[in-house]
Formats: sequence, structure tokens, C-alpha cells
Amino acid sequence: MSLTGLKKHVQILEDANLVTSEKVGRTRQCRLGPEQLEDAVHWIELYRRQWNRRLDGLETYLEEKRGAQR
Amino acid sequence: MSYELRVERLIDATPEEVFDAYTDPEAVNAWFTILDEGMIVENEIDLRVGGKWVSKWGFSPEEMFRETNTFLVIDRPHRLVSKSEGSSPDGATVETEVEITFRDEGGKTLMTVVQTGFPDEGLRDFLATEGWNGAFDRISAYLAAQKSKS
Repeated sequence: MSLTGLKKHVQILEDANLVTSEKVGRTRQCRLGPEQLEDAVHWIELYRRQWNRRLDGLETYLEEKRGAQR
Repeated sequence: MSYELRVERLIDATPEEVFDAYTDPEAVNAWFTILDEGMIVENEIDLRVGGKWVSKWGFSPEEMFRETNTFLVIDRPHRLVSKSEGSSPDGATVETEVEITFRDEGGKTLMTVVQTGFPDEGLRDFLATEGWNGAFDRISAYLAAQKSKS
């Protein structure tokens, strides 16, 4: 791949917030950006809390229903 | 290697009771709000393969979460699989797959939720397997494919 081609690809990744790059001396260092990954962690935590809350609710609902039938 | 979210709960009811309470719209509206007074909730459930469960919930009409589940497998009272599209009030969206199993444990039910396909974990896995060396063009192609999917 040509240097120009490589730069173009890095730019695409930077635009997608997937990498950040930094010029260090004569080299450019690329780093996998945290933003997108943090986004996934955010969703996973949101869903985890939500499932626990829903299962609490479902359990309480079924307990009350069973209690009412006795 | 793929990330999954797994939540388990042993519930003191039969699998039929749990499955029905989980999928009946009236019951769903009841248990969604039973512990959260003041929560606004709307559920529409079309319980058949290809049918949708549309949920909206939140504490104010301006800040509602939405989730649409399209049923892929309905096997009462054992298993429920759906494709989930979730969105938060800030407009962020995520597509995942949800598999729920209801297993009889001596009159009680072990309910297990497994949610997979969190997209950026997929990307992380992709990067982990494909590596970085000379991979920029493939990553760009991957991103283009993801973009055209959404």
C-alpha cells in the first residue's frame, strides 16, 4: 500500500473515532480509540441493569400473583 | 471469541407461568412498573415468529428508551429468541440478539437471558483476529459493510 493510501485509510478510521494518531518524532503512532469501545460497554451495562430490574419485577409479579391465588 | 451478556434468575413458578407472564402484554406492563412507581411504559406484543414486541419506557415522555424485538424462535415454555433493536433517549442505537431459556428446576424455573452481538465488541474481536499489520483496507471494508447494514 502507498503512503498516501495508508493515510487515507487512517483518516477513515479517525473519522469513525476508532483510532487516534499522534506524531512522535518522525513516526505517526496510531492507537485504537476508546470511544466506540466505551459505547459498547455503556450498552452492556445498561442492558445488564435493565435485565436485573426486569427480572426483579417479573419475580415480584409472579410472587404476588401466586399469593393472590392462595 | 465473542462477548455475551448473561443474566440468570431462579423464579418460584413453573416455566409455563414464567413464559406467559413474560410474553403477555398486560402482565408485561404490570411487571415492568411493579418496582418503579411513575415509570411510563408501553408494550405491544405480536407473539409469533416474525412478529414484533415494541417497548417504550422511561420516567418522562421526552426521555424514553425504545426497544423492538422481532421474534425468531417461539418455543413455549422453553425458549424465546429475538432480534433486538434498542435506542436510548440520546439517539444511540444497538442491534443484538436475545435468547431466553426457561428451564424447569423441580417446580421452579431457571430463566437465563443471553444477549449477543454488541457491535463494537465484534469490531474488537475483528481487530484481535485480523491484527493491524496491513489490515487498514480490510478494516475500512468492514466499516463500510457495517455502515451499509445500518
